Amino acid sequence: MADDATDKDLDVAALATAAGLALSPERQALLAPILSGLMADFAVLDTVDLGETPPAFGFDPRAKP
Amino acid sequence: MSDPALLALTEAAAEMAAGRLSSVELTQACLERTQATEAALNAYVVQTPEAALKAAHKADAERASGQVRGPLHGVPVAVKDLIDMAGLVTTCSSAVRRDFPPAHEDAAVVARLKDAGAVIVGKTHTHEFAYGIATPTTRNPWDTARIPGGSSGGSAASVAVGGCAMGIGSDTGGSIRIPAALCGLVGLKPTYGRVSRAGVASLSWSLDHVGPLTRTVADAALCLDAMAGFDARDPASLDVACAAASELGQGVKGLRIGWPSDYFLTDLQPAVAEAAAKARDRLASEGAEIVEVAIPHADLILAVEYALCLPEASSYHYETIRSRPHLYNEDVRIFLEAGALLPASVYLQAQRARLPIKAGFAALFEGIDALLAPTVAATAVPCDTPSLTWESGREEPLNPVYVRFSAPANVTGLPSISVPAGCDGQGLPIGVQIMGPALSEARICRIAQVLERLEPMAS
Repeated sequence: MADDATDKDLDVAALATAAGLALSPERQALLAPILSGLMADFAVLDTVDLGETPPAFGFDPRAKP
Repeated sequence: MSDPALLALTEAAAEMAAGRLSSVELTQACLERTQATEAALNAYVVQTPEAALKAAHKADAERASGQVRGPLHGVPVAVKDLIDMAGLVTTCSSAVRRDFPPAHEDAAVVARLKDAGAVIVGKTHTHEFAYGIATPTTRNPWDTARIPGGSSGGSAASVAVGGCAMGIGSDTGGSIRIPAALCGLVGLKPTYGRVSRAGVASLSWSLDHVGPLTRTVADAALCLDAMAGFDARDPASLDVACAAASELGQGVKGLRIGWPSDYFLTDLQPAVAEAAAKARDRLASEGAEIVEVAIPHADLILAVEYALCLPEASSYHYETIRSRPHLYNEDVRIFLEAGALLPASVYLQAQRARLPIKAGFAALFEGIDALLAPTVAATAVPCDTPSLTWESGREEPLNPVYVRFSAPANVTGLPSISVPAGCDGQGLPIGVQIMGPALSEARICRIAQVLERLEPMAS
C-alpha cells in the first residue's frame, strides 16, 4: 500500500511518542508501511473542495447526559 | 410441522398463536440445534439454556393467561457478545476483557427485546471488538472451512442453523450485512439512530448501528420494529416511530430502483455481478422501473469510512491499547495502533467530507425509491485468506473486499438490507442489498421481500 519514499517521510517513533504508545523498533517498522498506505489512501480527502463545510457532528445543549 | 427451530420467526409466532407450538418446545428445538452444530461452528461465547427455558416457560404462561406481547413473544434470540446482558461479562470475543466485570444491566436493545417477549439463548462470537470481517472463532455453516463473515459472524452462524430465530448484530462497515450475505440470511442495518447503542461496546461512534439478522425479510422487519425506539442515553438516538413491517406484501410495481453505473460493479466476483443483475431484472419483471444512477462521491466513501473508524476505535481503546496491547489479536492491534498515530486533521477532513457524500445520496434518492447493489464483492472465502486478486490484477486486502460495498450506508447513515440472491458455482450464498433514503426501512423491506420470494434459498 505504500512506497518507500513515503515510509521514510513518516517518523513513526515521533508519532508514537506523541501518542503515548510504547512501540518497539520492530513494531514501528511493521506499522510504518501500513500508516503510509493509509495516509496515501486518505489523500483523496484533500482533493474535494470542502469550502466552509463543518464536520458532521454536533450536539444538543438542551439534552441531559 | 417441520423442525420448529427452522421455522421463520413469523411462522413460529403463528404456530404459537394457534396453540400448535409452545415457546418451551421452540426454545428446546433451538437449543438442540445449537448442541448439534456448535462443535463445528463455535458460534457462541456462552449459552444460557436454563435462563432461556425459564423465560420460555414464562412466555407460555403469559400466553395461556391471554397476555401476548407481540410477534416476538416466546421467540429465541441470540445476542452478539458486544452487547451487555445483566450478569454476564461482555467479552467482545477478546482476551482484553478476560477479567472484565459482568454487566450491571441489559443493553437498551436487549431490554426492548425482553419487553417484547423474546427468549435469549446466549451470546454469540464477534470478530474481536467488532473490528474485522472474518470472525475467526466461528465457521460458516455452508462450508466450515470458510469464514462466516463479520463482525457479527456468531449471530449469523446460529441463525443459519436454527440455533435461534434472530441474532442481534452491529454494523459499522457492514458487520450485519456481510455475514448475512455470506451465510444466506437477511441482515438489516437501520437508519443511524434507529436502535439505541446504550450498553453496546463501540467500534466507531459515528458509524455504529445495531440491527437484526434473520432467515426472512418479514422477520427482520418485525424484529427491527421491536428493537427501535428513542433512548436519551444514545446521543444519536432518533425520536421517530418505526414501522418497518408496514409495507410488506405490497410488491414493487411503480417503484423506481436505482442501478449503479459505477462503484458497485468493479472488482467483484462474476457470480456476484450476475446475481445482482438477475435481481435487477427480477425487480423489473415485477413492475419496478430500473434507473441507472451514478454513486455520488464514490471515490471518497472508503477513505471516509476508514478515516472515521480507525481514530474513533483507537480512542475507545485508548487505555488498553497502551497498557495491554499484547492481549489483542494481531490484526486488531495493528488497526488500533495505526489509528492512534493518525493526525487529527485526517479525522476532521473525513467528518467534513461526509457531508457532501450525505448530500449527494439525499439528492440521488430524490429520483429513486431505493438503490440495488451487491452486498459484498465476494462469497465466503476460506479461513485465513489474506487478500483477493481481481481480474484487473489488483490485489485487495480482505477487509475492503467485504467493506467496500457496505460502507456507503454506514458513511451516510442510510438504511440497507441484505437479502439472499442465490448461490455461486460452489454453492455459497450471494447477497444483494437494497439501500434507501433515511427512515425508509419499510420501503427497503418491501423491495427485499420481493427478491426473497423470487430467489428462495436452498435449506
